[in-house]
Amino acid sequence: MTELAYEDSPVAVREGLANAHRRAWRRLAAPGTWWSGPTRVAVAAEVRNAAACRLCRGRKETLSPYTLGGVHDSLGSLPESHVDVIHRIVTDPGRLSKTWLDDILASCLSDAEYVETVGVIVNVMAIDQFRRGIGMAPAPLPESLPGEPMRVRPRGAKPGAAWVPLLAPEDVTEAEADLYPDVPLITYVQRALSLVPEEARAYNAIGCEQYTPTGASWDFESRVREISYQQIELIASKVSVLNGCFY
Amino acid sequence: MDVSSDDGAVPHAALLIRFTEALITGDAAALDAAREEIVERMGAGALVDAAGVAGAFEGFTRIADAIGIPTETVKVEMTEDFRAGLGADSFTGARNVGDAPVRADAEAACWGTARVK
Repeated sequence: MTELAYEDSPVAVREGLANAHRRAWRRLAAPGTWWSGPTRVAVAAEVRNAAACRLCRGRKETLSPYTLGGVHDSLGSLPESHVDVIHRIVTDPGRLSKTWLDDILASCLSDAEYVETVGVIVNVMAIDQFRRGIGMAPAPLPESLPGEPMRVRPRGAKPGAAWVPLLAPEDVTEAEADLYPDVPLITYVQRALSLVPEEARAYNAIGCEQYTPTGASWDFESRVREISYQQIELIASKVSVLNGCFY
Repeated sequence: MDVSSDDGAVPHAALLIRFTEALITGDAAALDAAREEIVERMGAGALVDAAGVAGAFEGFTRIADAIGIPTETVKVEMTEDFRAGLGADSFTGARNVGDAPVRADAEAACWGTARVK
């Protein structure tokens, strides 16, 4: 098993942050809710491969990313339709559309498989970019573990608010009781991956270490990290703009 | 505190923006320079946290846009004054807006300093 390490880091990495990354890497290798370990690791490899894809680069230049056909430069481990999903989310997330996703869901992936794919993508990107940011190379991907995915869908998930069904706090069962804090407002981004609760939990753990801890106040004068809340939101806004994200 | 004149109200804003831009666009030389400057002027802990936030939002932005979640109206109202300046109103996701999902039994909730419902 390849462990994600920070012993060689040029700067000291908080223990909680390093532990969150180690847990994410172990999860990446293991069977998920809908995908096997080998498929999850193959998705992660394709996330990294997308940056060099000529079709994706060509699409970035077009007025609409849906007008240019072709085949992705892929690693060959996943079906082309799955590769297309991964590459589009990695390289051009701001121009995804409901029509595009409806076609995907009608032809090649279930809604839950799609959500788990998104979960793997965001974990890998958050960790890889953190490491680049502090001057480290991306960690070697873990070797996948054998076993079957759980294939459990939350009973209370309902369509409506987003492009895929979400699990609202009032609809959680005992199995998802830990998913949300007991507060009157759970934002949509907190609910977004809830069709696959394991993915929602996993990214929440990353967010708590890399962004702000659960329950951190909106007091812009407060300091929960080595940088101020204002500085945190400045960086967050800049990333959002560069990715064409309105949310 | 060492703050340059182009930082506005946020200390080291220009440096943090340069760092973020270099990281997200993959400009290795600019990233090396900004990283070194952050450590020198703000400390190694600040570099860890800046890289952490940038990495986290590489994920959050993709979650929002891949899942097609609506932006809560309260958030849209709160950001009205600076959104246009960022060019964000022209983003595809700007068309996807919805009421904040406040729990049915709650009289009101807070989003930052704003009260919802």
